[in-house]
Amino acid sequence: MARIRLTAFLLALLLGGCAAGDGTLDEVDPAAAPANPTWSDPVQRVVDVYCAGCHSDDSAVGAQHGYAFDTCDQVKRARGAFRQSTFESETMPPPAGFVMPEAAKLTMKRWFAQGMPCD
Amino acid sequence: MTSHQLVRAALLAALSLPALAHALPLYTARAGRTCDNCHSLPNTWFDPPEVTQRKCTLSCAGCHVDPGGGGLRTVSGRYYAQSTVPMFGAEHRPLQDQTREVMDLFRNRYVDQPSSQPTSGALIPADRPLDPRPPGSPAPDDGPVFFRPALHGSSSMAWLDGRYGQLNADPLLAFGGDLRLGWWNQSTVFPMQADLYTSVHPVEHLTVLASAGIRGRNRGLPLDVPEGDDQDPVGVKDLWLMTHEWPALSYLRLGRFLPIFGTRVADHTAYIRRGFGLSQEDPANRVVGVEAGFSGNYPYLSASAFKPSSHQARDPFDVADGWGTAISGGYRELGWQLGGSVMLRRRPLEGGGDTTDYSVQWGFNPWYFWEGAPFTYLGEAVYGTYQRALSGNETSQLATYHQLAWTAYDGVVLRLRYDTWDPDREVKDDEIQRPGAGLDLQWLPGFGTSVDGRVGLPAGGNAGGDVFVQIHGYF
Repeated sequence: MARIRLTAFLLALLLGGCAAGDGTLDEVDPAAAPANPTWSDPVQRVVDVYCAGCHSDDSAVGAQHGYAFDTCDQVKRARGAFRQSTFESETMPPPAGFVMPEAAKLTMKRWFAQGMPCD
Repeated sequence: MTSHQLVRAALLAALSLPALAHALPLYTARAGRTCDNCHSLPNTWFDPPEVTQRKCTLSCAGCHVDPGGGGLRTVSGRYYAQSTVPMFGAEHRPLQDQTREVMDLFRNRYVDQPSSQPTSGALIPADRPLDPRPPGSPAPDDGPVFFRPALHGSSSMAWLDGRYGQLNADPLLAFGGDLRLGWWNQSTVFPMQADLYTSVHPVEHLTVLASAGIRGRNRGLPLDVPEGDDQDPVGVKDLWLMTHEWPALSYLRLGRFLPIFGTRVADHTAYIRRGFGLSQEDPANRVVGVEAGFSGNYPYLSASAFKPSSHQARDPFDVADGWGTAISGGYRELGWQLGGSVMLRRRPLEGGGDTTDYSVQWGFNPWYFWEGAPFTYLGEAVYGTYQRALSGNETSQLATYHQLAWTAYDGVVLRLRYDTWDPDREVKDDEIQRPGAGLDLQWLPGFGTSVDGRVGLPAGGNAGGDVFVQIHGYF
């Protein structure tokens, strides 16, 4: 039995794909993200780092797929697509290039849940 | 494109896109096949200097001035890059790998070109004895490899004339640079890396190195970095003084550097690097401190003690609160390698918090054992604890990296890679796996291209892939 456990551990170490975790970040550490995020603190910085590189009128690649996230109003107008791609299908940011930290996702979710305040 | 757009593109590139993943580890392992990367006179297998005195190593220091790898190349690294790595233009060839040239498909270069005859020996004048050391020198093979007296004298053959073809074997001043241009899916061409290096080597055993260039965005989560605290897009990266070339390639350096931990794969998006604050392009990952180590064949060990750099670090020696230490060691044989690393960082939460990281690295080079298997496999697993940025609560993460490379011909390398990351072991469904494949073509000495395709497989979401093309020039 001990040999099987050791083999399983070594395989997990080699492949690294083993699932772990007790719950969502909101469940295991609610203080890991701001309780009342606003656009100016810190949502704009999250969007700037994880989204605006490809979705901005000011970026080198322009506003990909027609989405620009330079202002709070622009994000609010695209909230349906933003929620779907970032929180539901998780196809954005592109998973092969970026991993959006759970704390940033939780921040965005709370901001959405609180009506996306622009102050 | 405005300068603002250019900087933004560079920052995006530094944050998200792969660099050539083949550079150091693959070449290091492969160096075990190309004899004159280490041997002074490979055609005769005559190696007069005792083992501890040789400059020969399979560690990073064999090709880079930085003992941890990356950046400015040593004369041995330049020679290797010119003589062994490229498809075309390699005029000075080692004995091994003669038959791996693309041009062999069209003609027998080994026969046609006198310059491709055995390397170092062919360049030594006929009237010079094969053993260039002074009369009365100790026997070439004079005992155990390690733990020689510290002051054992300098290596007589390390900087042999003609040893490195037409290159200056021991330059007082050295300059180098890396320029990488990238194209990601349908985006424009943009600069990924633009670094310049210089080193001064006024006397034996002393080198000062400086590097500067485009710097990536700081690694900190944007939640805890004050607004407007973006780093300068261009600035100093490394600045240190080192005494080195002591027995067993031992060294001591002081200054600003990236501490040695794990395998420094050139792909800074690898989770084993980015996830643990070890990406080369990020100035916030540099430290200010002291590091000592050795890497003569075949064991290696390094240890460092340091203060973390400040995020901005306009002044290269501007340090932040806290301290850290790193130890890395192992054994790099011609056909295999195994190593381990530990790093502690103790910092205020706003400076990144406390981290404790452990790494195991391994490699296997079947090519060394069998001519018909020109493959190189490298792997690493890193486990570490850290504090979440806002709450300060401790959690852990685990990342792995695997790379299998097939060197079809000199300068033609096909790669398979697979890396994984569980960034928070307490959070479920946040793991990601990322298989990928790439083709590297080193056309000429100092010039190559690569194409990479990757697929991200997040545990809780849909798969997403990307394609990335890169042009790399260096000198």
